[in-house]
Amino acid sequence: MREENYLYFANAGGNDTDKDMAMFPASTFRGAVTMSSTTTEFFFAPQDGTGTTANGVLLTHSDIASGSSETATMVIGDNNQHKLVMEEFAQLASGNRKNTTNFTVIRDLNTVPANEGAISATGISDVSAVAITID
Amino acid sequence: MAIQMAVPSHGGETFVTLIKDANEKFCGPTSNFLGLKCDGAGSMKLRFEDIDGTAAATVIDVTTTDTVGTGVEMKRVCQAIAGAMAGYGVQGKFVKVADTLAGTYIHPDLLSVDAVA
Repeated sequence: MREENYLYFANAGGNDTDKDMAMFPASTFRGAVTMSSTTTEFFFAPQDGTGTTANGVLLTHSDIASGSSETATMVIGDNNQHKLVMEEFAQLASGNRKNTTNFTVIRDLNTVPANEGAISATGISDVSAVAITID
Repeated sequence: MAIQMAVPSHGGETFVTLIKDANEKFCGPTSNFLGLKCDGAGSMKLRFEDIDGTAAATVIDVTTTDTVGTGVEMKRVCQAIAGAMAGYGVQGKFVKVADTLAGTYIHPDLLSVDAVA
């Protein structure tokens, strides 16, 4: 059986209130939709088991017209923040990466300790806010 | 002649177990894991596809350490759960994530199983 990749999202709330953080199996990813010039929402199969209304993670990034803060060379260019964030998500969520753990931080806006591997990971630096919707 | 019922196969899959007490326990395949979320300070909800045929998920409430204030303890528990679902080399494919009855957990920041519903 294929090994699952688990995707971690957290806003800056310190995991103190409902939906400050969520983790989804990558296989439950349904797709991503641009919501505005500065937001892209990533949808997952609902955690309530009904399979109906998807759970969403709304990621805020810089305006579509602005450049990227990522240093890596992006194939898609640096002037399309929607595609940039989507591509970075796809790279992280892909189960084909070698020599990585199956715990993947897509974005964690909290202060993280240094030198602790995935625990120290903050994810996609282009994302400035995370809003999680789980019914 | 008795006919053997067809049983869905989860061959090669990891099974995880969470135990609250003698009467509330859960064991299920990781492919049924729907995800988890923070439910408050030091509180998480894990959800699995329900096993009684209804649509609603099986919900498991757990308590984690929450002292640093950045949520890193909960993050560490999430990492441990993700690792557990991959299956440990020593424990094989049947992994006990938390057992409040015995006081054993896969991570020291995972403190208890509070409900299995």
